[in-house]
Amino acid sequence: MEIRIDYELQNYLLTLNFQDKSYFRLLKFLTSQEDTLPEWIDYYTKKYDENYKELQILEQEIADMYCPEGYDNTKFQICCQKGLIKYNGILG
Amino acid sequence: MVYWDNFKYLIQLNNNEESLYTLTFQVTKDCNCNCTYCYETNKEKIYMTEKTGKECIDFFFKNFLYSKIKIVGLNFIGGEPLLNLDVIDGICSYFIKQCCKYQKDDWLKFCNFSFITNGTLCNTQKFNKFLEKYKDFLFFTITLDGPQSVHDLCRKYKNGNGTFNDVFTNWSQLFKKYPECVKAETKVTISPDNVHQVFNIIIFFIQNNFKDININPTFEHKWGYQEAFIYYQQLKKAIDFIIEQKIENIDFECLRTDKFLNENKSLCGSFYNKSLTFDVNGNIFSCIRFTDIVDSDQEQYCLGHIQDEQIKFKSFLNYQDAFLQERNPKCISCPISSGCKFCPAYNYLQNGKLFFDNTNLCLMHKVEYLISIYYQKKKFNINIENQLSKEETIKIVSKEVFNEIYST
Repeated sequence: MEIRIDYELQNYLLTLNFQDKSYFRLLKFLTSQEDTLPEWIDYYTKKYDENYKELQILEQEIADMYCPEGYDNTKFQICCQKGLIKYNGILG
Repeated sequence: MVYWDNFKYLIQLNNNEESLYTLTFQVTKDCNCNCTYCYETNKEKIYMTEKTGKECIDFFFKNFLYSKIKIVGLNFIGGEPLLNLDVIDGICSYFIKQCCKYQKDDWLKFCNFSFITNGTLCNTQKFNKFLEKYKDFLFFTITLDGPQSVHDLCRKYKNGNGTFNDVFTNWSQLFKKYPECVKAETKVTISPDNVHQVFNIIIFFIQNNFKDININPTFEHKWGYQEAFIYYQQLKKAIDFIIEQKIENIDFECLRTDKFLNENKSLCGSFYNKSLTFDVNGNIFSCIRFTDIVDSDQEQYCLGHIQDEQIKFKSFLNYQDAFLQERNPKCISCPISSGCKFCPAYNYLQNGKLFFDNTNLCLMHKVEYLISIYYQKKKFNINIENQLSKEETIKIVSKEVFNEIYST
């Protein structure tokens, strides 16, 4: 079952998702450079971890919020581009 | 692809005055080609040094560190920018590291590097190494004008040979290997030499899966009715092909009617002080067209130098006042002027006024407008009222076509 997510939540998801990818690409770049200062890597690893945790929590909150009766709120996929959540499992 | 899709979306969300800033670096005035219609008529073997490039970044940090700007893009231009790839590498790397040093997290999140290249130097080991290093930050366009017979008419090496074979081979290979970096878009320059080939050009790009086709009649030529008629016939043929073949998902400017009727004129970033261009020596301009790579009798419209304490930023309000005062009266009364291509730099170089519209493109713009009406009628059976006079329309499209399409 597919359900449309509220527009503001979708934007929040897009932002966190975008940040997840941007911190990742930055760390990938910094770790491949010889003159990178270790404190930069520490700082952005921390940022990356914090953002990732926030993204996970938000995704689960959205899954709980929209879960239709009889569906499993732990088995879902979110497409933030389209603003859709799809539940893949039925309880029982 | 997800990264750039999100990126475009977030830029739209943040579309305000502080959101986007483009820094353009003229990394060289040299080019390995000799294209017939190039507006850069003063090319020289002069290259930006890495030291100057880094000083440009320092200048930006010094003046904008505490600004509200969130998104910064670095753009590299020439001549042919890939002739100075080491300096591009040095500037990109320095920018990222300065952002880390000053914890400019937004700039890092949104930072992107871009360039438009003639595509002849994209097969080197050095370029591949560069791509591997920056592929997550980079997108670029390779300029192709269409099929070989069209491309080689204007895009030539210095020895006179056409560049198509090299460019198309490089484009195809890079597009397969780095689809996220190489844009499937094109900016075709239309000149009197190739205007009769517009249909073949569009079909070539459709067949090669280009999604974004930008056809730009050159600013430098004063287009006449005869050429406008040819342009109209060529575009009409392309529209018929697109409809008959049921081709979808193409972003082709001429298919959009709305752009001609917006109340606000669309203007480039240099108008809003949203871009800075550094020439090879560290002089600062609002656009590459103001630099001395373009021949002009006008005094250089330079904002300053990277070593200056302050540069002459023009305030947005002053720009708006000048915009209202200077505009060409002919354009103010034109019902479709809002979608017309408008280049303050080209205006300035021609007549010393940034906002006195040059009318070289006038007829070609009218053709694009009339074609957009034709497309709406043919594809969706929607009749859009033609804002141009009957006499003007007939002069461009012929009486027969006027009676068939535009008389209702």
